[in-house]
Amino acid sequence: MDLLKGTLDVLILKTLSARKAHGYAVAREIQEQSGQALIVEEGALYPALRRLEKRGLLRASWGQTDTGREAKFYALTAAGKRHLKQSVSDWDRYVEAMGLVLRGPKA
Amino acid sequence: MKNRHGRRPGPVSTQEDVDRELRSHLALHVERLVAQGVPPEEAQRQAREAFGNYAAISSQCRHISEANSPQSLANMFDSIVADVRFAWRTLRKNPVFLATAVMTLALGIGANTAIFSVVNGILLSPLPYEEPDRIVALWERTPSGRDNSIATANFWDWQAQTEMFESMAVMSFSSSPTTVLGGEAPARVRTAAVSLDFFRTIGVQPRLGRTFGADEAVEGAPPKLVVAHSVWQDLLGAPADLAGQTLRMNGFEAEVVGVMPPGFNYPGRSQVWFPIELYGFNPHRTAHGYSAIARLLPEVPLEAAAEEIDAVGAALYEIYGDETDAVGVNVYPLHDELVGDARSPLILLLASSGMVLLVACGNLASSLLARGTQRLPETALRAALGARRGRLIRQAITEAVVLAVLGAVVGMLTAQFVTDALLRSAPGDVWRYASVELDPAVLGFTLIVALGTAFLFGLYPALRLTRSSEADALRGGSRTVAGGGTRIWSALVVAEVALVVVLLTGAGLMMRSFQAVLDIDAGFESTGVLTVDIDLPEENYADDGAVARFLDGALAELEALPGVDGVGLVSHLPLSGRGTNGQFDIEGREPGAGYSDYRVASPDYFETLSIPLVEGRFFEPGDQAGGEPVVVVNEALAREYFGDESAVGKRVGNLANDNWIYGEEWMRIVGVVGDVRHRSLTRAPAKTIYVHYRQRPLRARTPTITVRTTGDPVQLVNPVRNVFARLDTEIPTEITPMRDLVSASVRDRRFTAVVLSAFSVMALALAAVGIYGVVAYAVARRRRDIGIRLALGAEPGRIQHEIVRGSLLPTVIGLGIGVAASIALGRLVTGLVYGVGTADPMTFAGVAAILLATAFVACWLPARRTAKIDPMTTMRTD
Repeated sequence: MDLLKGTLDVLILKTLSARKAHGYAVAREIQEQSGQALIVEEGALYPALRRLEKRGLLRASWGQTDTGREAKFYALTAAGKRHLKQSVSDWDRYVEAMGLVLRGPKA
Repeated sequence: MKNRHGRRPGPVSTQEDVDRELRSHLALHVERLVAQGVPPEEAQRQAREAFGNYAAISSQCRHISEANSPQSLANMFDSIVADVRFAWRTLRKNPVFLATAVMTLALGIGANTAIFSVVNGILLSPLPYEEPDRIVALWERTPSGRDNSIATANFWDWQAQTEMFESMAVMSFSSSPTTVLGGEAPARVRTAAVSLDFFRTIGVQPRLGRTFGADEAVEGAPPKLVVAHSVWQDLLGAPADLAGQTLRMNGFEAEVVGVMPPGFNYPGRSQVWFPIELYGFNPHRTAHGYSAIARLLPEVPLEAAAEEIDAVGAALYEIYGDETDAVGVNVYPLHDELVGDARSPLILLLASSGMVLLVACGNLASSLLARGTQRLPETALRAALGARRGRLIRQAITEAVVLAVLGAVVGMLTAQFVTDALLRSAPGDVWRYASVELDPAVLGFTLIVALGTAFLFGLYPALRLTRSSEADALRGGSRTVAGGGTRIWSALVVAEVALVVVLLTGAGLMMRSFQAVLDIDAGFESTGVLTVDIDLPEENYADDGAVARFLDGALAELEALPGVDGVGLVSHLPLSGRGTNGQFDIEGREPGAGYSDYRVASPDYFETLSIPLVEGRFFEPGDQAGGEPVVVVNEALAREYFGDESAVGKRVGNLANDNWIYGEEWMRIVGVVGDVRHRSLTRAPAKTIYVHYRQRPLRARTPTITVRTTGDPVQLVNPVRNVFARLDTEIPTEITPMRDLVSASVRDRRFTAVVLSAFSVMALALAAVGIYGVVAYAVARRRRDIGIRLALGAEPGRIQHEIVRGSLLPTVIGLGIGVAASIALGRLVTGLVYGVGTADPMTFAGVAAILLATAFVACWLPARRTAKIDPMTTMRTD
């Protein structure tokens, strides 16, 4: 399934809210957590990571994986945490509004 | 794929970081596949396949990370240095372009800055006196409204009766030097008699010593002098203490009390100042010849003060009626007085240099455009390979800036050089009034104009590229230039040609005026004549006898020198800037009916200068002191006062110029001589009376001896000097070939003509280079088309013909515009032009011919190259 525009950022932030991870791990996590429904292309992932880093929502640093390979790890900043919280709340409201329109008010 | 372990030391470029991260991703993916049991090579293949377009992703990541990244100062500096190096390398690859562009900039900047600095220094800068905008010049106003020089009696009343002036001063000076003795050698210096408040009014303090005290500025007081710096240095030996320093002039010994700063020589290039009050009070209100200046009180506007003093002048006229001929007082700022004459030519020069600058900028613009468009494919390729638009623009800017800086540096050197050259060959006294330096503001302005051009036109191609699609540019090869591009070229050519035409016309008019002035019949011959200015000091030559004896002896001895054809003397030489005039009576008419120039001459004088005899006779040996007083007049006088009747035999008398010495006796006109242009070559000859030196010796105490030589006059300089040294060691002599004097009188005109011509040639050369460049570029651009046509059998001649014709069209349009502009602007320079009209057809014809010929050559040379275009090669390469 194709990701809706703008939702990749939230997914990335959410994935990194638990712990630091490198890009590859983030992509796999999203894939698994969504039950293979959401596939994140590298061409979308890495630009998104860099954009988030530029906006100050992520902090990047080079480190090593447990297998000893070097990788660039990303972590949420405080601003990132705030942004994530706001985005989740926005998303909930959006979904509710869409539901009302599409299915009518809940009984 | 390389394996990297650990970090690299030092700052990492974004590209490297991106690559590292993406490769790390691949490695991790491979690792996982291998862990799932996929063989390593297969894993690598799968991973790479799954990855997607590496290059594109890498590029995108880089863009994101680089955009507006707040780079550290070190990073920014590094990238600027890299840009500059790259720009320099690119520029060096095309040395012809580089040299042309730099020289063009240098010429435009250099010439313009130099001229403007000079003009600024003279016209626009304030005078080097204290608060110079408050100094004004005063003139009497005649009933017909004209300015007249001042009579001191009027001045003293003005001074007493006005309140709006802080101080006033009256001055008397002449361009005739006075002999000054008592210094290291007898010398002739220009002196000025000035009133007590002079130094205060002009606002300059002495560098050493003091100015006159109130008790020294009265009749009968022992005379005191203030001297110029040059006099202090050369005549007094630069003593640090003025005590006891004296000089002798006009028969008396005077103590030197003050030394003025170097360069101060107001009024009239004076070198010695003494109190005018020593002459005593002259009650005659028509005894003109004096000048006056005044300093306004602070806060008082010029109009108010002018009104006040004018009212005083008018009141005096009411009271004194016939005794005075001044109905009022005219007041002018001193600055205008001093630089007035120089204004027009200077502005002309300024406008011309501005035009040269514009032409230079035009050339620069066109060559930058050509280069930029030529490199469009290369630039497009770089963009496709990942160069960002911002980067490209930055590089284009850097190139333009490097070019501009180079041009500016060379330009500044040129400016200094040109300024020095201008000042050294500069004519006229007014140039020395100013302190001319390279004006930083002017330099800045010129730089901005030139650099602005470099910027704009260097940027244009980069901007155009990023608007159109990169692929288009690549595909189209070298034929991508849109039709709009050609219009810019044509416009540039038209503009440049128009400017050059205006300049050439101006130069042509100045040259023809100069020639016309040289062609003027001055009424005398100056070739082969040596002039000797001498000054007989009053104390040793106090009476007629002494003067006459000396002059007789001098003339005789000079005539005896080998190589001398004839010797004469005259009280005031033509074109010397000296002269005197006055009223006289004509027998049978009311008193004072005559007015003319007054000269004392010797019998042979007229022949030494080849002044023709029109009627009657020259002076003869029979005309002696004590004999019948005789005069010779010139044609102008004879015509005006006697019309068709012969002037010979008529009598004149009571000459105002000598009646206080020689009385009012009647003198007979014995001859009429040809007119001579005295004041300047372009002023009409004035009526003149010549008296015999033996009959009026005391009026010939500062004569000019004219020596006609058979060979080169310069060779007689030493023998002549020796003659005078033998006769009297205390007489200073100034010896000059007369040709030099005549030449000096046209110095201003010659200067303007020469400089203007230099500018036009510069502009013409620039424009020719510009046209050549444009045509060469057009040919290069259309190589493919031309190649194809040649291959299809077209004649090279026809193609050349077409190219030349197409390029000449803008030239002709520019010519037309230039001619129209010249005619319109011509009205502004009528004052500078002599002997030709400002819309002179011959000048225009000449200009058109020169321009078309040059343009034709500039078009034809590159067009010729089309014949060498090998159709095969052009079609293969592309």
